[in-house]
Amino acid sequence: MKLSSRSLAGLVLAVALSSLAGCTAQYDHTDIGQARASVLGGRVDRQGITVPEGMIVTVHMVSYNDDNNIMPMTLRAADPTILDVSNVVSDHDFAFIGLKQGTTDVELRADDRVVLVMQAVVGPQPSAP
Amino acid sequence: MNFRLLAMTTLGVLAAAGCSSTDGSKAGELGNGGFYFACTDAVSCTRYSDDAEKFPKAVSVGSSFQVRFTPKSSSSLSASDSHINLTTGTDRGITISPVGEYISRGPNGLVALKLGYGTITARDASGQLIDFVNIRVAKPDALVVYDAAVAHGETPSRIESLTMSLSGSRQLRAFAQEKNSVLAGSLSVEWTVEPKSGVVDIIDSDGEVTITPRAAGTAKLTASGGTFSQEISVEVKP
Repeated sequence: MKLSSRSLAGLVLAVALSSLAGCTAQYDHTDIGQARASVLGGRVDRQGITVPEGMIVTVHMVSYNDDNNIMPMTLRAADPTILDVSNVVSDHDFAFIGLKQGTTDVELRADDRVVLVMQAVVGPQPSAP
Repeated sequence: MNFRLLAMTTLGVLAAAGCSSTDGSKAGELGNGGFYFACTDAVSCTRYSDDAEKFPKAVSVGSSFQVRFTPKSSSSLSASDSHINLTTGTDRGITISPVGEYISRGPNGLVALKLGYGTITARDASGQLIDFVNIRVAKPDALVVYDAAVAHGETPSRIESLTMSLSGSRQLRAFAQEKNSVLAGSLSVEWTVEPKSGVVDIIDSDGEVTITPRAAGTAKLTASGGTFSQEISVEVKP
């Protein structure tokens, strides 16, 4: 089969574009810093999120692509009536706000897709003072 | 050493010391500014009238109070956002909000609803969290009834019984205590009397009760607030 010069150019372009697409940096990993617990405790790590009801736990989280560049990321609770996830005014800091007792998932989205799901538990306060 | 430099340094140190001692704010947990507490009722608020001398550790359940937030000048907020009155809702783009069920909004600011630790947040116009502060909501173990005529700043005496003549009336107020410490917050106190008529008449207005004798005899006055009640025996002499 003989290719016309136009078909050949198109083929070259397609190969070039697909190779370029292959070079596009992809999500690689997320660094989770040391959580700042509330006065009644709480934690955020790879094992999950625990926040006492009515309290706030903050953490520094950064997602990287495979070029080791920082990626924009968002966090969202599946049930925002249990846990509110808010951005803090300082870069890459997030606040996990325990609204009522219960369990929900928190999705981390980077590159417009879910890259990490963490289970969050909002527990009771230790005891009424 | 240069005398002018020494004088300026000394003045600077003195001014800085003065500023820190008069600032009643409590630094937010994120270090982005300070929270101020205020309430405006009776002895429990004398220290907390206008801006509190210091942010209280605990408020009485059922009481109301106001909180405002002043961002640090070095924060990302503009200078026009500083020193904002944030009793309720949004002002200049910053919102004060309670978290969860421990503290809620009320007609006079914030209301302590549930025993435990409450959290109050300050958010910017885009909803980002600037800072937050915690305060304990406590149950009073005593209501202290006192003479409403007590001078501002004076420590009032607890009234446990009242003897009156037919010729005069008395005004009383009450504040909440926990382990002999005054709990902050404007506490809504309800006053009742038994028997309802005959010995004394009462008029309950803004937490202050006016007792007017009608006939010689005895009556029982009850102040209720913050899930606690205090009874006062009243004797009217002829």
